[in-house]
Amino acid sequence: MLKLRGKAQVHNASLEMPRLLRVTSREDLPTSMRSKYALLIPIDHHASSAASEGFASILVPGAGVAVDELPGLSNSKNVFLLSEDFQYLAEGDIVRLNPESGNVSTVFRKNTPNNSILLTERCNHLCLMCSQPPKDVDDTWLLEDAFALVRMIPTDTPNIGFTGGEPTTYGNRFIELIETTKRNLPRTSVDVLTNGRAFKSESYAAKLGRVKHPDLQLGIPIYSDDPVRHDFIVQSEGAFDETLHGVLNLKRHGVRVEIRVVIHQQSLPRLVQTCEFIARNLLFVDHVALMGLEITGFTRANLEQLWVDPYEYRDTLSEAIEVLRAYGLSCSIYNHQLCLINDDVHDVCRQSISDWKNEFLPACDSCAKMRSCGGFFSSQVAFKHSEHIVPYAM
Amino acid sequence: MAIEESSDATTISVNVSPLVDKSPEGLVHLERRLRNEVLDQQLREQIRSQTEGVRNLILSHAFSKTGLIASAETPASL
Amino acid sequence: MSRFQPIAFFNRQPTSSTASYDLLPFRFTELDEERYVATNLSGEYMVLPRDVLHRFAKSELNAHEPQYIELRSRHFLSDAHSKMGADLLAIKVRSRYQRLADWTGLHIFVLTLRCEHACPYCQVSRQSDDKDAFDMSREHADKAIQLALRSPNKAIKIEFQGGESFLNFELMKHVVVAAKVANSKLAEPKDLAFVAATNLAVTTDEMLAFCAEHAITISTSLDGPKDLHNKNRPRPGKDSYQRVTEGIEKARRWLGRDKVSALMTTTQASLGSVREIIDEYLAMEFQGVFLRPLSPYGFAIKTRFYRAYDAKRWLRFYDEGLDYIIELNRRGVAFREYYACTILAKMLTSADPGYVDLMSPAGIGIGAVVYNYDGAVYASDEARMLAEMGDETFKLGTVDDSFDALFTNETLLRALDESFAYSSPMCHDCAFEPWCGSDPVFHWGQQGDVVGRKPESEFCERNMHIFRGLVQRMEADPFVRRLFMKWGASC
Repeated sequence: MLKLRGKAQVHNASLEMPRLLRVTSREDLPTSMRSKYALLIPIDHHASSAASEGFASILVPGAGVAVDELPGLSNSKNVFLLSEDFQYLAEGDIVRLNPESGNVSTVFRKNTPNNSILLTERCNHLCLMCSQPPKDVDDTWLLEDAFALVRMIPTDTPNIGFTGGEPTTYGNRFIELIETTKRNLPRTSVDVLTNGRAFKSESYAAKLGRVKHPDLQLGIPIYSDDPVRHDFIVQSEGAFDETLHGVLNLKRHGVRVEIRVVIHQQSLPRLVQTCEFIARNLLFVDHVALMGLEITGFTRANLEQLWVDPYEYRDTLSEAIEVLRAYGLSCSIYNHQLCLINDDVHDVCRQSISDWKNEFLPACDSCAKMRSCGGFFSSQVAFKHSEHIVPYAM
Repeated sequence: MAIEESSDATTISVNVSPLVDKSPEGLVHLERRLRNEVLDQQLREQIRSQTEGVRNLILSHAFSKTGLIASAETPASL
Repeated sequence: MSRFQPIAFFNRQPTSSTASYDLLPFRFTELDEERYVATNLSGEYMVLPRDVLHRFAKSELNAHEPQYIELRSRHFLSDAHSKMGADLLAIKVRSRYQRLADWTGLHIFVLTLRCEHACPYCQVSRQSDDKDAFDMSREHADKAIQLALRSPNKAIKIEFQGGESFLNFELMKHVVVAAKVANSKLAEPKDLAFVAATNLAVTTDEMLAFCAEHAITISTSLDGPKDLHNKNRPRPGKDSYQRVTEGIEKARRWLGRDKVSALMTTTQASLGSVREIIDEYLAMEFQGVFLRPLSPYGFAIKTRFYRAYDAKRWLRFYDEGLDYIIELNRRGVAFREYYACTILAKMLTSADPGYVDLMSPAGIGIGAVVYNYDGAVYASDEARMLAEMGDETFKLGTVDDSFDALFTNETLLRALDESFAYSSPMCHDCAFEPWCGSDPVFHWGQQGDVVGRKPESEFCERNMHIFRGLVQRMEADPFVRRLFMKWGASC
């Protein structure tokens, strides 16, 4: 698992406020450009003062090095001594640096297909299995960062995601962000995770439709066809109707929608009926994803109420996919390992876990299907996974 | 089956004779079926009157251009 | 202390007394002695025991009874937890009736009445070489093409019928080419498709090459194994079976495996042989079979074929066939019964399978129309057959009439209006009405009334039996439920 956030020792702090900076290893970067860049220096590298002059910041991943041991840097501003965990940093990444607190966040990585931008930790739900537990703080700075970020991210980036918390907390500013993203990353597909409730306002859905983003999809969870059960899982009364209403409005205004169902003890009893409900009432949605549990955030607190070994529900999962497929709905299984699901659904099982939190068990080294398997969440490896993991024979 | 309405239109008498099975069981069975049918028709009447309003609403909106639920306006941010 | 509430917190319904809910519109009909089928406004169904149905309808159901959650999800009731049912029902109902806005999609051209077969159950054909008397003329065909393309439907299917359509191959060629040319000149060209109904006994390589070039699909008749087929479908040489089976192979080679379909007709001789008929279709590598009863028209009436068996006997034939097909599927053979598929599509989806004989409002005129060999225009194939028997009630006019005049024909509109099942007596209360159709021509022909007295209608008897049978099979067996779901959802 990659550490995307951390704290560093900072020498010669001088940035007035937290900054988004592009990461580069090129000591020969033209001087006129350097004020927008952070220079990445490997720990064993001796940088000359001329090479490091003019950069907004210097980043040195490596453990316990005092700045005087790096002679060329004694006059450099904003030298961040990062832990070993940050050795993944590479050319083209983008970091957020706070020289006052020493906080470092990697907000964009060039070498991954999974870049996700957190817009807020505020949310009007309290899902039993939330992997990003809500915080009631004004974190609008995250939104401001996002506006800046989409203007810095390379235009050949295939995909980015916007997550939270609940992104529509920002109302019209969220729509503006999508518009800005369209203008600055016209060839980048965008996935947004949202509970969709704000779109019960048809004018709000219309606003998003009018942006006419060329490749936008909203991932909206519906956890049960039983409104009581859905409301219970998200811990919010009235959620089911508003989410449903939001989905209808979004489709009326030409926005792509993916319905997400997370499978656990509470949603499993009506998983097939939920898929039938989607097939009968929401046949016009663009995709349906049945998802495995990430063992982080609230999931750990509620594990006893939630955990069920995927191997135990493999037939129900097959039946649910069978319903979706029979009705011609595009569908996927996310976050499951191939050895836990039946053969008949292997073709819809995606490698869906973001690379920075994607791991395998030692047992998987001898598995013939390891290359095509999505593997585990790091949190599954660490805390809870199926007892039925068995490698396929070579 | 012979059906007679009383002169003041308050009572309907029904005389039923089965065409085939003239046994007592057959007659009881037939009577039960008739009673059930009458109860079912009463129920249909009741359902119809109870749901007429929402049925007309649904059908009129099915064939109109606008949606059914009035759009709720939310402020710029939640 | 957990900040999370238990599920009971979110359930406002009382645990031990009756729930508080509003009924959404629904109908119910007996399934068997103990159970009812209930359908909502959009035709989705639930099976309920009698007492549960009554308590539910009288607002006496408890929210913790097993059916309560299902009744809410399937939009039979709305309560404090979800009011979206009405909106979703409106969307589903709209989808079901979408095709009305499209208007007539199927345009049948009767190229000739001539045929070399002499099938006793045929409605119309003549054994004759008199082309002048029994072939459609070019003038009539050209006018019919104009009428067909005038239909607002974005997809137009032209079906060649007869007699034997390939006996007038010259005209078939002309219609295909002329229709394509005329279509290309439209401001918004249609999605144009062609199908030829043929016994495949007289088709040559030249004909099949033409079909391949113009993407014309073939619909033929295969009544069963050789002896049965030849008995049903006599021709000079007594070789109908050999010709059609060879013709199917040849047509597939020219057109593609899925471009050739077959229909069967049930006669007295067929009744004991449904398995053999199905086996024949399997041997000929078809994906399914359409088990069809005899229509009460034409020679079928004259030769007393129609009264040779009654509806009940045919239903036993049908049930045996359907059960056999289910067994085949259980053994891993993917094979369908197409009438069941059509009905299942109406039971399990909001999509319209486009089967003209099972539509309400009826498919006459607005679903399909027939341009006869003599230039007459009929509201349906049945209407044409009725006219052959001397009853021209459903003749809309001729190809010389304007599109507007033909489709606002007084008889047509009145028949559509009066026979609309939703407002017909008995159909109005029937739970199966969303799955059914109205067949005004049939009822007119049989009873002299476009609505028909349904208790006396074989159309009603047949369909109700099949509806009940499909539901019972799904209730009894999860395998069948899943199988039928696949059939209905991908019809």
